[in-house]
Amino acid sequence: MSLYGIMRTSASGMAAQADRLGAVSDNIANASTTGYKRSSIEFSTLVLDSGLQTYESGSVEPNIRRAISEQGAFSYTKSVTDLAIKGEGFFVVNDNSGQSFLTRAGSFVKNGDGNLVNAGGYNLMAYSLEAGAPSVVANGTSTLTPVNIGTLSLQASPSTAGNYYTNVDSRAAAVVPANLPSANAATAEFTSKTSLTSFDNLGNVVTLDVYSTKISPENWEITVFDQSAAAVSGGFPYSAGPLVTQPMVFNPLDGQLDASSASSLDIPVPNGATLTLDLSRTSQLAANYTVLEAQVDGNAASAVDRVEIGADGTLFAIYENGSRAATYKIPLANVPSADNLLSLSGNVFQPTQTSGDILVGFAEQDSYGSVVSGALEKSTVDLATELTIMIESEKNYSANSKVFQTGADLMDVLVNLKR
Amino acid sequence: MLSLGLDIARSGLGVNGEQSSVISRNIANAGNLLTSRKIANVITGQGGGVVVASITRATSDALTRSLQTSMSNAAAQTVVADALGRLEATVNDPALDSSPAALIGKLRDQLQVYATNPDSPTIAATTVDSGRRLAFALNEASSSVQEVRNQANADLRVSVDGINALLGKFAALNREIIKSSNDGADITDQLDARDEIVRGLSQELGVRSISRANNDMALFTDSGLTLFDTVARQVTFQPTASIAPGVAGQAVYVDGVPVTGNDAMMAVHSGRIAGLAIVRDDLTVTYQRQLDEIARGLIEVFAESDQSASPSLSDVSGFFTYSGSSSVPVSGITVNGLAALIRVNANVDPKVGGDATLLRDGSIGDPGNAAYVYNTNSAAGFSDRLQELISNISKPRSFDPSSGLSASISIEAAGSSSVGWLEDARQKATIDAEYRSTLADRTRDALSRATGVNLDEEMTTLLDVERAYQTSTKILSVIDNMFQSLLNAT
Repeated sequence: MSLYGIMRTSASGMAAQADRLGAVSDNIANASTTGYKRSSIEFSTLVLDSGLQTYESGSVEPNIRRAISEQGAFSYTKSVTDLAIKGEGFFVVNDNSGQSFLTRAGSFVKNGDGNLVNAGGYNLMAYSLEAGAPSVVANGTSTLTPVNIGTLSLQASPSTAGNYYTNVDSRAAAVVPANLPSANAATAEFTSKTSLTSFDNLGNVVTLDVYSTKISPENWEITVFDQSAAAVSGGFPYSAGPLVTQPMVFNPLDGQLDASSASSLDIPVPNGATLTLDLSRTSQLAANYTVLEAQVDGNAASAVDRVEIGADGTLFAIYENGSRAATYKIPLANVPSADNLLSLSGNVFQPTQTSGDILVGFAEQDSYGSVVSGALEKSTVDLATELTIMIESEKNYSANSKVFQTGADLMDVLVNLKR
Repeated sequence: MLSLGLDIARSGLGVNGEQSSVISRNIANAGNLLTSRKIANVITGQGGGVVVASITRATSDALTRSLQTSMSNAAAQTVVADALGRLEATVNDPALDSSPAALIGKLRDQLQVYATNPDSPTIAATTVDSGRRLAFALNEASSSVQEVRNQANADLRVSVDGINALLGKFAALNREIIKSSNDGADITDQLDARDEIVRGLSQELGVRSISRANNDMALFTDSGLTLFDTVARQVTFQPTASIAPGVAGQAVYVDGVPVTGNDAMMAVHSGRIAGLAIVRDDLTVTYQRQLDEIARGLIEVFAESDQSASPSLSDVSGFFTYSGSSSVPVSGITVNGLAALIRVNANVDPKVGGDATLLRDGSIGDPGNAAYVYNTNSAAGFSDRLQELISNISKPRSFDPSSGLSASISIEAAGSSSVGWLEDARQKATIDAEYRSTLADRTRDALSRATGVNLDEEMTTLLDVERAYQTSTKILSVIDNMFQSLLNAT
């Protein structure tokens, strides 16, 4: 046993408690930092070889622990680009030099360039969906691009699918073949007509006139014309023939579309894609002509109004005309041991040897968790806990200093032995 | 976890604040019957807090739809009843007793008086006066019908313009609603406004609405024509400045297809447009035909025939003529607009220099032509012609069946049958309109009860919210005290 040993041991105790107070002060300072993960100090002993008769006091070694995997509570906001993760994943963000980091701090706002940047100044990274489905690299971030919502381009999508469910009136009079709409004569007659809005490749509205005409009991004809080719008075004869015409046969037993009759209609939209109109729930009953459902997809060219982010991390552009298009898919990353990530300034983390390599996936898959738009993950610091640790640390520090002082006093006694 | 406790209490305060703003909005709109009740939906947030997930409104699809239908029906019937009421008032004023039917009776009575005193020029002039009044009454009736028709035509124009304007507003609101319906934004006011527009539209014409994804709505007429599907369709109407009597006017087109008129394949069944079309193209046309048939019958009754021993000349119009023509229209076929043209022949009208006694003697239509002279001896007491005219008035003759008059009745009976027809139609339309309006009112009440604001309920909720707010505040102060004691401990 040595007096120096006592002083050294208590000095290490004081240093350890000072470290702990440092962690507490960091925690308290970041009590309101979005995405902040509480730090703590764990102590371990450092034992010196002691004989059987002498005690060699060792020292205490502080170990920094960061509870990175601890889920923080959410505070809700009104901004859709405020994102929080409910689960284990992290957002992938880049600094300006292009280096990738992980973060849970999701208070993203649009900067001057249109990029989504969080309070630490990091760009949110995602897969762009502009060129179709993304090529996902599970263990790297090289194929990610910064999310830019400033330059989302005008966009139009041609109509490709739709529903058109009606009841045609079984009591209607039959039309003679020469006057059927498909013959496109000036004398054309029809039983019912409804027009549907579709869009061509450039987003022009193409209004389709859909005629349902009774030929004979249970036998109908469905004929589609481009309304822009209609005669001046509106209607027949159209300057161009029908886009498509197809028979509809109904089952006399239940009035539903017969199994032998095609349940969909392929309409070649002028300058657009082929629109497949589902007719499967069309019926022929003794009731007035009724449109039960009429919906065609596609949208006109329109500028982006704002964005919206789904729970699976898909960023939708909402266009002026109300249509939505998925433009980015925000991935989430994770590492095998999140608590061993290296903490860096700006609430970001970097993988280390001990944390393991990052794995990139999507929200709502595996254990990545889900993305909550309009919420922020609060700091995991609890002030009461920190304050009690502070009190405890303070007492421990004082005790250590007392031991040191005792050692120093004994040293004085020793030195004063010789006069 | 004192910090977390603080957060939760704070989130409670925020939610209570939002709830109270929703309640105050409800209370402010309590007077507006068709404003829906707004509801703040509260859910537990991540980590124990509370959050307003969305603001929705009380709705009843079935009642909303049945209100639309009943308003459409009421609007159509009210238009018809109003128009018939106006016709009835102008044509058949009972106080003046100046309907064509009454005046035909008066003319017959006057002829009877004249027949007993055929030598009196004063009575002859009075009889001509009576005929002039009858012709004038027919002219007036015809112009009243035309007035009602032209009014209906103008109203159709107003209605069509209204529909297009409403569809424009609908398009803007619908776009707004689709845009905001996914991000939890409060779109309840827009939804209310859109419902109001649909109600406005259904007064103009029967509308069926279909809800689609993202709160999108498509509108169709009750006959299935597209009114709105992503973009509004055109409703067009090119009215002619004035409509010819007895002929249907221009049709209203929806999406290029006529929705009014007898040959419309997809005619609308309800709404003002349907009512106006019935008034313009059906009721007034029929009534005009009846007036025209009465006018034609009168010309026929008073027509003069060749009195020679061997008749070779065709009949000419006598006492009553039209447009100065001396020919007699073919029996049993309506001449459109004849009622507006019928006149007492100038040759017999003393007011314009004619000779009233020609009524007794004949040869009114072709003066100077001896063949049409009945009183060949110029006898002052000659009354055969007058007696013949009196019997002609009550003799059955053929009428155009398209006028709704019996094919073979006397001119006198035709007059009263026409009055009866109009009165009957008016009464039916009025009763129907009243019934449908009542039904619409009841449905409106029911919808208001189901989805409207109930003040008692709002006040109770407000008390709950107040209590919750007080409790949250209490929790805040308790946690504050706990922190204080912790801080004092250091």
